[in-house]
Amino acid sequence: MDDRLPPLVSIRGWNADDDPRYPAFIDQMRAADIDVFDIYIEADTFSTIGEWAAAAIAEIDEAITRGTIPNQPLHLIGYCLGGNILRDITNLLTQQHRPPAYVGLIDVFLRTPAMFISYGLYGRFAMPWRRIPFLQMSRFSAPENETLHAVIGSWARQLLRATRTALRRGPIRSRRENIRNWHAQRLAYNAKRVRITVPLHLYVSSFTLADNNNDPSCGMARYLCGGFNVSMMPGVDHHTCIEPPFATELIATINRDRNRVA
Amino acid sequence: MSRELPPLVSIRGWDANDDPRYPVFLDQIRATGIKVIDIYVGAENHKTMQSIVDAATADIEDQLEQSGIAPDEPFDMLAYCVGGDVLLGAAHTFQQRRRPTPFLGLIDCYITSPKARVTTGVYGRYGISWSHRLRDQADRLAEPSNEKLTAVIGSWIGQYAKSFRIALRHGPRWTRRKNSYGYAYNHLSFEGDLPYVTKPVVLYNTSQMITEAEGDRSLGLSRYLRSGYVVRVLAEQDHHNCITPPHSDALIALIAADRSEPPGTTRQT
Repeated sequence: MDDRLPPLVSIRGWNADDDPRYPAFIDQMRAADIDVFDIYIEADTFSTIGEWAAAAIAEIDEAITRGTIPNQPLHLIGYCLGGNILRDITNLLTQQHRPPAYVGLIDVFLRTPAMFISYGLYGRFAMPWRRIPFLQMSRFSAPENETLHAVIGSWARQLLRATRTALRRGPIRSRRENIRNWHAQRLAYNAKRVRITVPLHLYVSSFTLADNNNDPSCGMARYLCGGFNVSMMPGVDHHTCIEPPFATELIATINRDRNRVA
Repeated sequence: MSRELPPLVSIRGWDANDDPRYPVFLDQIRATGIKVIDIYVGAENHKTMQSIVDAATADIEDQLEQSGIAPDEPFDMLAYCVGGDVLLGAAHTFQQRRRPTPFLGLIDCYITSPKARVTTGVYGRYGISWSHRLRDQADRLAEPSNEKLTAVIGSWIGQYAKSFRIALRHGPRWTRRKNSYGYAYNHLSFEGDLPYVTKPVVLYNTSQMITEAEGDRSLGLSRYLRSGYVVRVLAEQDHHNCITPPHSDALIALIAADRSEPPGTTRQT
């Protein structure tokens, strides 16, 4: 382990029963002699991702008080849903004038407003109606520059599809209970999209790249106002990117990036 | 790992009479032993930004060929201020043609925010179409700006009242446009849509411009820079003095260092 590096604070969005792969990835990092401080907090009691992020920061602060983590700019990492919480944590820490030194997001994506419609995310994750127009407005602006015709067309198509599905399988609200970790995912999808003004490191699998219209920032570029670096992970998908044998390479890349900012 | 440096193609948005500082800055770069190919395409004979980009792209290829650079050889690109629009367009074109451009550098290039476009009277001054104005303004309501509808409408009313008062004193806006500095280029620039680039970019932004952009270190460009970017903050400098001595020396050294090892490179893990 490089003695210059502080412990890597990992933010997890899924518990070990729902997703045992990420805890295994953390164990692999530890086996590579990296000091990892893993944070997992159940989302059930929170009503926004900001509250969730604040709770994670409280846990970090407690660890700093205990001396488990040194009181210096943090090194943070998050995968998937954990990365979504990490974006808010980064924003909150920056507001508190303690920007992290390193932030790594492994295969984290932000669905575009067009995808929110075509994937039926508004209904599936019970987004409040008042948020819909504010997110959809950005479809008209650069670089998307969608036409009014295209935007309304996508709404009409999704409405038809949702109606057909509801007739076959019942209303969406009765099907939500089948979605794993629904409340936590709802918080993530419902998160306010804020500007982040510190540099970020993105690690993107080729599958997630393709799934996000070949946008290497996975829908996040608009909000990352402090710069970001993308490391592509070819030949892997969202699940295999943190599993052996590929995880070894990913851990080495994360280490290299952390050393660069140290 | 450092590399042997290819030629540096610089794209200018202003002619030397309107802005003599940037050509002097290029001479300063040349004085360090770097070969600089200077590209300038005026807006006069063009009706769209894409047409300017196409002309600049053709000019770059011609000049590289004249300099003995083979069509598949790499070259670096640099631009300052409004030249950044053309650079991003040209970079997009070269990416599509698979021509390598290992280093893309933008010095204090910015996108005026939709809010500032209203409050500084950009729409009227540069004759921007109403469809463009509406698109811009829709973005103010969307995240991450999240402005309130009342704030947006309030800014329109405030600017409308200001324009009306000025029109009473100086005559209607369209009679004054021809006096606007860089009208033709700015009109096309604001009317045009930038492409997104799928190559990492290095931004050299002054602290003055970052403050004006309300802390956005990308100066409004992040949405176009989908493959990542690095920001070099030029502390305690402004848009004008960053390319003039004594600040320019440090900037030239920074650019040389970044060119020899382009940061933000998309790596394969």
